[in-house]
Amino acid sequence: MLNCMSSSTENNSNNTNPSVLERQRAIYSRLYHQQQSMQNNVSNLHTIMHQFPLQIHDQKIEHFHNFAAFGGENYGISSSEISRSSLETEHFMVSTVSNSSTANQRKFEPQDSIRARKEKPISAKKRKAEVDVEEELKAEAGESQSEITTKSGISKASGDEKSDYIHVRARRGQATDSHSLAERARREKISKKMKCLQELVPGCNKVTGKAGMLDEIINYVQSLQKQVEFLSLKLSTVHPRLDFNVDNLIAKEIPAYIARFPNSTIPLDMANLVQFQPNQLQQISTSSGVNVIPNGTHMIPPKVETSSLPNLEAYLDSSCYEQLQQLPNWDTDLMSLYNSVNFQ
Amino acid sequence: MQNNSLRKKEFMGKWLKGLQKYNSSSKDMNFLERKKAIKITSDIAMASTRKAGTFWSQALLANASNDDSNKTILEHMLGTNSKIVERASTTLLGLANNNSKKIRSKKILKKSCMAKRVKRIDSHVGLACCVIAKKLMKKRTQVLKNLVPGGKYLKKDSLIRETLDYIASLRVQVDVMRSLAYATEHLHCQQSLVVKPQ
Repeated sequence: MLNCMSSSTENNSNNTNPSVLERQRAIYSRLYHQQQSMQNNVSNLHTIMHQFPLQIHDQKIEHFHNFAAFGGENYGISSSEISRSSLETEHFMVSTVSNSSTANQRKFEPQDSIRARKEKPISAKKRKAEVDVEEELKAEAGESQSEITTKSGISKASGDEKSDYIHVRARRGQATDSHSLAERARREKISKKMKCLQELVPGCNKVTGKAGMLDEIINYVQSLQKQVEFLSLKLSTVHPRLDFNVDNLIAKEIPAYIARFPNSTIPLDMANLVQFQPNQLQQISTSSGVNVIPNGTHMIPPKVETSSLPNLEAYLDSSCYEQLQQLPNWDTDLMSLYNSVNFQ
Repeated sequence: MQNNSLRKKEFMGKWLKGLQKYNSSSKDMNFLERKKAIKITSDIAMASTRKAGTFWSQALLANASNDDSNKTILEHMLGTNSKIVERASTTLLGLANNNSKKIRSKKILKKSCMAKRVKRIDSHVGLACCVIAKKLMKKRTQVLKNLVPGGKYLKKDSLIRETLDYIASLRVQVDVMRSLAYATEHLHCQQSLVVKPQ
């Protein structure tokens, strides 16, 4: 009868989400289970007949009335299903329960109602309390390809649906229709990736909330892009010098730059930064970038310098990267740099 | 880490190849031109290291190929893989077309939804903050979409995946460029120090 119940509930929910295949499957399974339940009924009947002597029948029938009320309210369809399935066994009942009226007999046989009463709390739990959604989703299988977990042999037909399901659990009070489940799966996916991003972006693990995280990510991407811009700018000024180095021209050019520094329109702090360079040199010497130089040097042929270059170089040299990282508002610095480039 | 260093090497090789090509094609270049060239070559190199498997790299390549002056460099850098560029541009175009349709319908939707929204906010005060939070998220995702190349045509979950990848490769790019800059600067400093006493 448990099987019968489940099949009937399946049938019930299929009525709400009808699809031909599902309905057929449900019907087949129901027939199968009805057969099984028939056999069970017969066996159970015999055992119970042995257990209960005929004298208690009147009391039993009263109980059955109560059960009838209970079952009729919540599980109208399922109880009717039960009664229908057990109609075949009714002739036993008629013989045993001769005192009761025919109307009561028809709906509530002893075994069925007792069974139903035993199963109802469990099935009610299944319906409302925290469950693996699996059982219910089996019934909903019509639309949701993603959440079907097929356990029993009932859903042999949905073999192709098995391949692409995502396991989603619905907690207490969460909706279990396919749309909200899919939405939940999507959100979970997004949050997983957000966690990955959190690990990747520095300073992002302190921030809570998606909006803050997105802010942080945006800032980081922007800063990286600006860094690329800035570095390309810097390299574009540095490269010609590299070439001069190759041609041993730098020996003549460099003193001229240094001589020009005080005269040019560099702000005082910038000039200070230029003095900072020897310190920086030590840092650079430890960096692994030295390996790169041979590649860089032989690749780039010498270039003719434009007149505006010296000043720019002064700017760019002074605003070395170490400083920029320390400055909180280096974006604005970069912008001013751009402006200076444009004006010159 | 190993993977990262491998990526760096690959990027470096491609970038320098592109720079070489650029220099051989045009000798006399302005300061700004040079900067632009460096940036474009590095972008292309970065995109090509990703084998055009991701959307942002495709978008970058497609954007680069729009400019006629870059085409020769693109072909040189990607070599036989020039088909990639074509494919990227076609996919981008297709997506752009799809998106334009979407936008048109979205505008209409927005107009029709505006009245409803106002009503809803009035009726449920508790929902108002929820709506505001959603708006904030939407704004931010919009900004992110503008930042990531080709992000305009992505949905939110795929956008975040692309951003992950994009950030990773931007880091590689920045690291390599920084080390090169340091190297050149270091050399220059050394030279200048040597030269100064004279």
